Amino acid sequence: MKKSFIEKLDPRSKLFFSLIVVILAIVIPEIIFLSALILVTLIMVIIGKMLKKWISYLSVFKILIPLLFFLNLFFYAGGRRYWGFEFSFLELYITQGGLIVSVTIILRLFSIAGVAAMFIISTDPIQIETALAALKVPWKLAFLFSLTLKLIPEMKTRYKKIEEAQLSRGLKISGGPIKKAKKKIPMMIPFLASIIKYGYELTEALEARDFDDIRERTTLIHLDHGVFDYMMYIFSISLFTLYVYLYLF
Amino acid sequence: MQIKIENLHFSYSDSPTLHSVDLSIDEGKNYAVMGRNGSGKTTLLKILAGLYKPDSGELKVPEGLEIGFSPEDPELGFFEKTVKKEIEFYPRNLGLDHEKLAAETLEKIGISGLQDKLPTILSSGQQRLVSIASVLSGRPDILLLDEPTHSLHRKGEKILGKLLEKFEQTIVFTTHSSDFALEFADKVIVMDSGTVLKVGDVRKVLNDDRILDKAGIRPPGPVAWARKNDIDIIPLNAEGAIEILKGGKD
Amino acid sequence: MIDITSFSILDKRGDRLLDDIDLNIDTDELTVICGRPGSGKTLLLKAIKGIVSEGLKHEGKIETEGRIGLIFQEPRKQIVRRNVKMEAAFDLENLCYERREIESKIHEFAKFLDAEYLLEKDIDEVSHGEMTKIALLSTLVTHPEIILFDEPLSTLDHTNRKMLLELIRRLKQNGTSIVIAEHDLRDIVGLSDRIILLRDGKISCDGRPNDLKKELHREGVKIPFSWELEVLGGEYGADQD
Repeated sequence: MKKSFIEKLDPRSKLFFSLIVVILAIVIPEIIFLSALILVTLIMVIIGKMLKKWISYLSVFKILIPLLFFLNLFFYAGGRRYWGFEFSFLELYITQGGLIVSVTIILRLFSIAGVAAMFIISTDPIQIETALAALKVPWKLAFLFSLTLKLIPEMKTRYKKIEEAQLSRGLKISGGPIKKAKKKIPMMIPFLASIIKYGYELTEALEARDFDDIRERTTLIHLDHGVFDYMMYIFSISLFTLYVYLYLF
Repeated sequence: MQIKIENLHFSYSDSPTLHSVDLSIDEGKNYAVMGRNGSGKTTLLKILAGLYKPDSGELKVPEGLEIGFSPEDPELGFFEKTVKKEIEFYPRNLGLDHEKLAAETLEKIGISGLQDKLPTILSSGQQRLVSIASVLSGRPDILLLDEPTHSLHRKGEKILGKLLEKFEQTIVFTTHSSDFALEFADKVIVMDSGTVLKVGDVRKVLNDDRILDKAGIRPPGPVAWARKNDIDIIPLNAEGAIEILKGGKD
Repeated sequence: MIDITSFSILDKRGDRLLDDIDLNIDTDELTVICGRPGSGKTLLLKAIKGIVSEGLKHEGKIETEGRIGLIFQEPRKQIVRRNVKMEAAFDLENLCYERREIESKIHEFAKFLDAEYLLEKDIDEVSHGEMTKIALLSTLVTHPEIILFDEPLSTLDHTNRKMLLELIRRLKQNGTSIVIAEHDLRDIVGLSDRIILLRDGKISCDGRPNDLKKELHREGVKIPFSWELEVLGGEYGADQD
């Protein structure tokens, strides 16, 4: 598989960039700043040819986003009122303050999730493992973390197989949302069971590799910073300085 | 004529690609689908089951035909507390008399003794039988089984084989076991690299070295034996071979 | 060397999944542990490796000498890294081998297994039969004295089966002790020196393959066609090879 530019970067420089973005996103609550962060991440994703995958990773949030948006919209009040209603003691209005807060929260979520997704997609699990170890995270922990990244595609496969087994025994998913949810129980139960089973399988695999006995270890992996990595570091630092400067003044 | 496939093409990132598949499945016969891993056997079955839609070509299935499919990993589909309930699932979904059909099926397969047990704690061979029962109980017109002989010991295979012979339904199953196919299938569909290499009578196809070699199928025991001893008739199993020997010596 | 003394495995309800096993495997032979699905073969193999599942208790003891490699029934489940070469390097890294030695061992054994072309690939690009090779490679690089295989042939097609049997033959020639759990003996019987039949967790018989034809047939283990003729056919079936 041909590697894109972003994939070839050293995981440490990507991690550094991601951490800078996350810090900025948390510390600076301005809509324009946050949008610019997302834009920068988006540009990187496009250069790295990961757009489709990036969008599919972020679509995990498609329920959370509207939920957060509306909750904050109505329940945070401040400033001019735009639209709303009163219901006995309940006053629900969309206010200017509420709008700003909602949008800020959503943008913040996107900045952080966006850059995290970019990091995970463009970095081989084994590189993530090494990058984390370079941050002085204990190797075993870093390794287990990279193992959990295998979980999602494995679970997708198993869910599909379970779905097939049930559909081919006449299960029909139809009706309103509640009825549909009920119909999905024959798929949910074995699915949860298979997730638990997967946990046991991983444990056995690690036992078979004498995981518990590992104390120190050497590694074949060789991380090297290249020109583009230094550019990445410089870019990240510049971004940070620029933001802090613009924000404070 | 029950199902007809014409010039079917199908490709999907996770599966082997099928191309130019032409096939007709006749009513009441047992078909063994054989070929290498990755030749498209399971994909073909899933398309017949209606789980995948072909990209192009025709899949002509008579209106209202009920098709039951038992996957390669039976325990993946188990979700009920007892074997009986698991077997009642399919007929219940179809609106049939699920209690009666489940009881009959348990009887037929010989696993009535397991009916109150939790499916997930059974041995792999028992789970296989439960999975087949849970598809049989819906009395589908066509039964599709993916690797049904996997993890069955000889007695389990004989039970399964006898069932397949007894049923009037059309049965299509994938298998690596050419001995099982020889003994219990009527016809063989040989798959190679995503297309059908040959369809024919089981005794003829499994005796054809060219086809067996190309598709990577091992000649069944009786075939190798008949050839070695220069015998024209291919026995279906060891008992059959012994009859031939007895006949010869008398 | 594997020395098993009065070994049992019990489940939560006290049922004995393995019952008082006494067994000694000492030589460079190929031993087959066979029996029906559910007879305890996999449990025994895992126990030899030192893996006893959650919720199971054991009694008795198993002593082993030398490194033991275990190939799972589904090799995919024991592979922990995405890149094939890194997967093969995993155990060596954990044993603190030098980078150069790791590289050379990987290449040496990849050559032995005809697997060199696999080294640059990712696990998701690899076929089922190739997965078995990779699991073997990861094990072989650590120079195990004993290799345990859990039903290695059952999910392989004919072509891959031939390939694996050839590799097992090579291993045997090299002096590795091999223990294989199988319920289908048809392909492996030619290479086996000793067969141990498990029944409901107990050892039912133990000896040379040719001496056990009747017992194996009776137990429902799949045996070569010629053996079936011999067992069933009496005088008619004899001398059928």
